[in-house]
Amino acid sequence: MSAPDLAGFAAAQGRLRQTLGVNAEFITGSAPTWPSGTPLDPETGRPYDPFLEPQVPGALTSTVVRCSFVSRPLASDDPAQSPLGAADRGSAALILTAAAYATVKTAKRVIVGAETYELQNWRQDIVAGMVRWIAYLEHA
Amino acid sequence: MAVSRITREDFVEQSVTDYLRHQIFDVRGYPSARVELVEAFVESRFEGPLAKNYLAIGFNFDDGGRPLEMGSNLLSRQYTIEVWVIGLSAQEGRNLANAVRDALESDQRVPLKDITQAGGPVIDYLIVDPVRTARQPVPEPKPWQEFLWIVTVPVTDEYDPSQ
Repeated sequence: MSAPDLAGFAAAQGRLRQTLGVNAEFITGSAPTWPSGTPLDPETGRPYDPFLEPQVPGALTSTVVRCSFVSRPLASDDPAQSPLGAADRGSAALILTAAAYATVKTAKRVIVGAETYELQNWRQDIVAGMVRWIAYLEHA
Repeated sequence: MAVSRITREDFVEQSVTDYLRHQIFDVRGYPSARVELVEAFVESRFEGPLAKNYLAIGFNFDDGGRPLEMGSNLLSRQYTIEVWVIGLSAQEGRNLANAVRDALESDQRVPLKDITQAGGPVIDYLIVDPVRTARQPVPEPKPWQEFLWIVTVPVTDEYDPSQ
């Protein structure tokens, strides 16, 4: 029995992403700078005073990554639990390579087309030794 | 007090509102671009995402009053004032709610102004009893209800209603 063409599979994944994927714009913010001596909450890294203006505001950087995109526009709760029927939950996901993940893993928001999403969670996915990362999104 | 359509309760409401506004914005320096004090509100004002944090002050009820001293007309009436803190986030809402409590408890009294006179001279003082702060969990909250606190402020007015 011949060995599976794992390299070919990986290449096919890349072609699929290039052909049918999307250019997702990941928005990353740098940490703001606070006045000297400002006491910081160790849990959040931000000042205890939520109304304190930073000395240097955190800058936003944008990184565009080619990703596969999946969306789940309609979802329903168990009717035994909730009367709410099918509704747009604004859920979506992006699939990107491990190399791309390294450049955008601290991002909080993603723009895909005309929609802006909050990045909820990252999950690693391994198929035939090929590492991918899945970003779970919700409408901002 | 001369008969007027402006009642002593109007004095109480305006005095507490002015005192809170001074304490929050002038003394504690909260930015007006991020915090706004409103007196009563209709829900339609807060439809959709909020642009800033809000302090909505409401004068809801009093205890009816009780005689303070035998042989005199002195009356002690406790007003319960509720300040609704509508926050943009849990951190800002909690901070503002505690700042409202601190502002009203710090001196344990609020100057009562005669708003019918020019300059609003201080004619008396309201006694501030211990202030209670509570977050209001709302199932399926609207945007303005997501980070909502109610600060309950009991203030006591002791006066002679016949004057």
